[in-house]
Amino acid sequence: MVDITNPGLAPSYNSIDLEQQTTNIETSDANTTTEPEVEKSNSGIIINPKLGEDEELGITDEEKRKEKKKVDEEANLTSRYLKPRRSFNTNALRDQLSQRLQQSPYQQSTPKSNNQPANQIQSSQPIQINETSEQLDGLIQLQSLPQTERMSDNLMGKSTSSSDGFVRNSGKPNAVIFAKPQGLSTQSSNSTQSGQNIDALSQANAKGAFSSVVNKAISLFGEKSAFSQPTLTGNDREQVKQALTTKYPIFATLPMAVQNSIAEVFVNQPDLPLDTAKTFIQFAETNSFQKLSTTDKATVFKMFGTLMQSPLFNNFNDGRIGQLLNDIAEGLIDFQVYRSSSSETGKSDTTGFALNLGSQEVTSALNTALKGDSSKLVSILLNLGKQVPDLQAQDPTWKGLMSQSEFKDLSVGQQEIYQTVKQFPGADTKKLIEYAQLPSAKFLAATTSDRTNELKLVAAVNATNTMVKEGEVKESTGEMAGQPPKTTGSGLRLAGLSAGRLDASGPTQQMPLDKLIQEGTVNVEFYRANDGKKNIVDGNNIKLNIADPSVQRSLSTDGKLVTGAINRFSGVAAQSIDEKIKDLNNTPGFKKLDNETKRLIASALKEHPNADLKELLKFSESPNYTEIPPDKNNREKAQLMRMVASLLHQYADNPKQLAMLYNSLQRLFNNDIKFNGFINDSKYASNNQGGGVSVNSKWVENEREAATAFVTEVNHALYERPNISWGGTIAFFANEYRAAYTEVLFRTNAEPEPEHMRQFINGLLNTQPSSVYAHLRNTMDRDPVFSNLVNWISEKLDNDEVIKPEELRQTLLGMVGKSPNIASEEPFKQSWFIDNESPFPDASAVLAEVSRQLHFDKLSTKEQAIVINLVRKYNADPQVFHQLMQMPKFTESEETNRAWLLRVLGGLSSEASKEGKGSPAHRTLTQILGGKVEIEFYQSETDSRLQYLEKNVLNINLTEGQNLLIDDWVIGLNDLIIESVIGTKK
Amino acid sequence: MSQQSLTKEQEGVIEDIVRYLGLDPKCLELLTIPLTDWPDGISVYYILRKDRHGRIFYHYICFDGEVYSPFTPDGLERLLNRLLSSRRFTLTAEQLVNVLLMYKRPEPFMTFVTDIEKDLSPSSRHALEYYYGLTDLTPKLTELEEDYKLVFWTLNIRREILKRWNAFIYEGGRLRLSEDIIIELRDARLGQQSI
Repeated sequence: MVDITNPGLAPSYNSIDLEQQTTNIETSDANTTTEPEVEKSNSGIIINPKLGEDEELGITDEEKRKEKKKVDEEANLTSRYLKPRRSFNTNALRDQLSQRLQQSPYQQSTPKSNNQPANQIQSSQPIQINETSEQLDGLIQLQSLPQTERMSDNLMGKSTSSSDGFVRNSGKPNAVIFAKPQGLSTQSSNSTQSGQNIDALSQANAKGAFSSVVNKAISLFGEKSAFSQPTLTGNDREQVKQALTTKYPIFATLPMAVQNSIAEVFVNQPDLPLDTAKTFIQFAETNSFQKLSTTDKATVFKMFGTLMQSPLFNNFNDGRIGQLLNDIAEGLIDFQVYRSSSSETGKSDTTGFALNLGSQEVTSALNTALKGDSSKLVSILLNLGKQVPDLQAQDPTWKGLMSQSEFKDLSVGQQEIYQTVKQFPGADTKKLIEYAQLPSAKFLAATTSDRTNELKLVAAVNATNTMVKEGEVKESTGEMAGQPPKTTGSGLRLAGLSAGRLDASGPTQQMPLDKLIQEGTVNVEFYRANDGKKNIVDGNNIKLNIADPSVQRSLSTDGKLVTGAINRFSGVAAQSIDEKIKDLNNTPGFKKLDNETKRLIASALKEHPNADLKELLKFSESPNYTEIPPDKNNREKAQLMRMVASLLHQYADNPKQLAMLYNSLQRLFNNDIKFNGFINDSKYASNNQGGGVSVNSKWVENEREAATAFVTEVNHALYERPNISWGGTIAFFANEYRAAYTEVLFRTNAEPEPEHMRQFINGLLNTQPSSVYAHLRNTMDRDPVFSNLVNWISEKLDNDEVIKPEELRQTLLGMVGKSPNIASEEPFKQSWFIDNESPFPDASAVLAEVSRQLHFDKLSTKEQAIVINLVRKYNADPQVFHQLMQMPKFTESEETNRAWLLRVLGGLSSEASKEGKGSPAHRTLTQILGGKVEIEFYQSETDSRLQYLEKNVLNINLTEGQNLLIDDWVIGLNDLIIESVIGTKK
Repeated sequence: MSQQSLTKEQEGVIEDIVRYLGLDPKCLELLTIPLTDWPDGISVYYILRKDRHGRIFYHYICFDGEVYSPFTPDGLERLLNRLLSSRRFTLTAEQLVNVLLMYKRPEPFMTFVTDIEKDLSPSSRHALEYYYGLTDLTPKLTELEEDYKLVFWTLNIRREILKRWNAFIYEGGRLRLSEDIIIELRDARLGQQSI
C-alpha cells in the first residue's frame, strides 16, 4: 500500500506532468471506444454525444462551429429547472474550461431586469464548468449578488435605491442569498451571522444539491481541441490560478506556495467546482493551517478536494460533512494531522481534532477516497468532529463562560471568545463578552476567523494594558491613577512625521488604548493585500494585513507583534479623533462637553458624518445618555451615541422619514421615553417596558431596520406607559397592529397594503405552539368578541381597506366590558394618531391650537416661531406664554429679551408639563409668573455663570446662554434655575 | 396565579421561572397550549408577564412530568435527547421544529411556515413559484444514522424575509442550527410588479 503521506513515495501527489497525463488519458480513450451516448436533459436540450479521438479528428470545421454554437447557447440559457449547463461533450468541457479561464465573471454585466420567468431569462454569465446548476431541492438558483456586496451596501448606506430604503437590484429579483453555514454549536444552537467576503451563494451550492456528473476523467488541457479554442498546456496551473484570482480576488493575497497548492487541487480534480475554492482560501487563513507543515497543507487540500466531490458532501439530505468542512475552514474547529503508528484514527479535544495519518485505517480511507469513495473517510472525520462539542462542554473554561448569562445570551461570538480565552488564558472575559455583546457592523459581517482574530487583538491589548501616551494618565474617573505605565511599542511618533504635526496633548491621545478600543473610538480590523505592509492606519481605524504571514503567526501565538503594531499606530489613530474634536470645538455647546462625550461624538460623526451635530449635543445632555452606568467601559454609551448618529445620518436626505424619526428621537432626548439598554437576546429585535425602549445590540447589521425598530418601539412605549396597567390580550393585539401600521408608514412613506397587514395578522395569530404570540391565538379561539374583531378587520382587508389605528381604537372603546379580555378603557383613552406620522407641516395644527389660547398677533414673527417650536417639540403649555404676555416685564422689554423670556419660561413649562403639578419645575414657574421672582438679562464674556439669583432677581447671562442655545432650548438652564429659585437639585 | 388551580407540572414551571427571573408569581399568567396530534406525555406552557408591558414571553415543555427549563444551558439538549430516544412515539418534523423554536429562536419576529397558502400572501406565493419554483415549504426530517437533519422555513413577519434553516440534531440531543437560504419577499414581489 502506498503511503500517501510520504511525498517520496506518492508521485501522484506531486505536480503532474500534464503532457504525460494527456497522453495517458488519450491512450485510454482510444482503447476503450464506446458507442456515443446521446443524452437529453429534462429541459429538452440535446446533449452532444461524447467524441472519441478518431471521431474528433474527423469533424469538419462546420460541425465544430455548430457544436460550439450549441454549447454556447446552452451556456447562456438559464433553465427553469436548472440542469447542468455544461455539455456532456468532453471536448466541449475542455473548451468550456478554456472559455471560463479566459473570461472574468466580474466583467460580465449583471442580468438586466426584464422580469421574465426563469425559463426565459438569459444569463450573461459564461458557462461555469461544474457549476452547481441542479434544482436545489425545488428551488431554482438564480444569479444573486454576492452577500458581501449586499452587506457592504447596507453598511455603507448605499441601500437607497428604493423608497423604503432597502436594497433593490436592478436585475430580476436577486432576492436570494445563500447564506453560509453558521457557527458551531455545542450544547445549544448558535446561529451566527455569515457575512463573508466570499460569495455565499456558491458555498451553499457546493454543499447543497450539487449533483456531480459522472464523467470519465479526461484531460481538460489536451493539445487538440474540437473547437477553435486555445490549447491549454504547461501553464494550466497558472491559468487556474488566474481564474481563481478573478473569481476570488483575495486568493491573490495568499502566499504563492499556498496558491499553487490550491490550484493543483483543481488541476488534478477537474470536476471540482471552482466555487469550492472559497473553502480552501478560508482554511488557508486559519490558525489550523498555519500549524501544518508544507506537505501536510497540500495533503489536507487534496483531502478536502476529494471530500467535496463525494456524494455525501453533495447530498442535500445529509450535509454533515459539508458542515464539518465549513467549520474547519472558518476556524471554528481546529484541524490538525499527525502520524502515529497506533490504530487510533485521530484525537479530539475541546477545540478541534487531529487526524492520524499514520493509521492504516486512515491511510486506507484516504486512498479509497482518492479513487472516488469517500464514505469511510467521511465517517472517520464525522466521528472525530462529533466529539469536539461534547468535550468542549466539559471544559472548565467553557463552563466558566457559560455560567455568565451575558455570554450565554450571545448569538454571535461564543466560539470566538472561547478560542480567544484558550489562547490567552489571562484575557479579561468580561471585556471580550462586552465587545461581542455590542458589536460593530464590521465585527458582525466578518468571518468567524476574523472575529476570533479581532477578539484576540482585544485580549492582547487588554493584557498589555498599552498606553497611547507614555507616562501616567489620569482619567476624570481616576481610572489609571497609581498604575505605572506599560508600553510595549516605541511610542507615539511615527518616523517621518514632524513633532509639530502630532498633538500629543489631545484628549484622546491621553487615553489608555484598551479603553479606546473597547469603546470603539479606535477600531482594529483586518484587510488583505499583497502590499508588503503589515498594517495601515485609516482615520481612527488600525488595519492589520491578515495576508502577511507574520501577522497570522502572531495571532496564532502570543500576539506580541500585532499588539506592538497597534501600539505604534495608536497615536495616529487617536489623533484623527482629536483633530475632529478640534473642528467641533467651534460649534457652540460642544466645547463645554467633557472629554469622554467629545470623543464619543467625534467618533460617531466620523462613522456617520451626515448626522446633525446639534441633535447629538441635545442627546448628550439627556438623562438617557448621562445616566448610563459608568461601569460598562463606555461601550454601551458609545454604542448608543453611534446608534443615534446612525439614525440621523441614514435619513438626513429624506425629510419625511427624518421627520417621523425626529419625533421619536425627541422623546428620547427629552427623556419622555427612556432607553432601557441594548438587548442581547437574539429572539428580540426591540422591546419596550416601563416607559422605555430597548433595541437589539445587533442593530448595526442593518441600520435602516434599526431605525424602523426604534420608531416602532417608541410607538409601543407611547401607549404602554408605566402608569397604564396590562390591558389584556385584545389591547396587546391592537398595539401590535398599530405598531405594524406605524412601521410600514415609516419604512415606505405610505400606508400599508392590505396584503401585508393580512400576512402580519396571520403571523400574529399563527397556530403553531411555538408562536411568540401563542396567547393571542389562545384568546381568539376562546373569546368570540376577539374573533369577531379579527373577522371585522379581515373583512375590511378583503375589501382592500386597511383600518387606521385611530379607527381601531374607537372600535375597541366601544367593546370595553364586553369581554374579560378587554376590561378597561384605559389603554384606549389617548388618541392613536400616529405620533411619528406628524411631519413638520403639522406646525399649522399647533399654530391653530396656540392662537386660540393667546394673542398670537401681538408677537413678532420670530416670537411666534419660538412659541410654536416650544409647544410642538417640547410640549410647553400655551397658557404659560399667555400669562407671560400679560406681564409688564414682557410687554416693556426689547425684542431680544422678549425672545429669551419666551425661551426661559417655555423651557420651564416643558419640564413642568412632564413632571406635573407640584413638581420643582412647576413651583419655579409659579414663582416667576406670580412675580415673586423677576428675571433680568445681562451680557458678559468673562462671567462663566449661566445664571444666578440675587435678591429675588434671576440674572441670566445671555452670552453663555447663546453658546448653549440649540433649537430654542438652552441645555441645562432648567436645572440651574430650579435649583436657584427653590433650592432643589434634580 | 392561584396555586390551587395548578397541576404539579405547572407548579414546576412557575417555580422554575420564578427561580431564574426572580419574579412574583402573581404577575405571571400561565397558558396551556392545546396540542393536536402530539404524543401523550408532552405538555407545552406559555408564560406571560402582566406586571409590565413589552413582548417577552416564555415557553416551557414538560415531558412525562419533567420540566425542561429554557434557562439552563442544556435544557433543550436533554429534552431533545429524551424525545428522540423515546420508543413510544416518533415526533414529526413540524413537532420537532416547534420544540426547537420554543427554546432556541434564532431571530426575532419569525414565524414557522408550514402552509405556504396560509402563511404567505398571494403575491409572495406567486413570486416564489414564478422565480424560484418554490411551492412547498413544509419542514422535512431526515434520519442520518444516529443523527437527524431538520429543514424548515421561517418568515420574519415584519421584514418579510423567508429563511430556510438546517438543524442538525446529533446523538445526545446537541443541536446545530444554521440558515442557508434567505429570500427577501419584498424584492421578489418587486420584480413581479415590474412586468
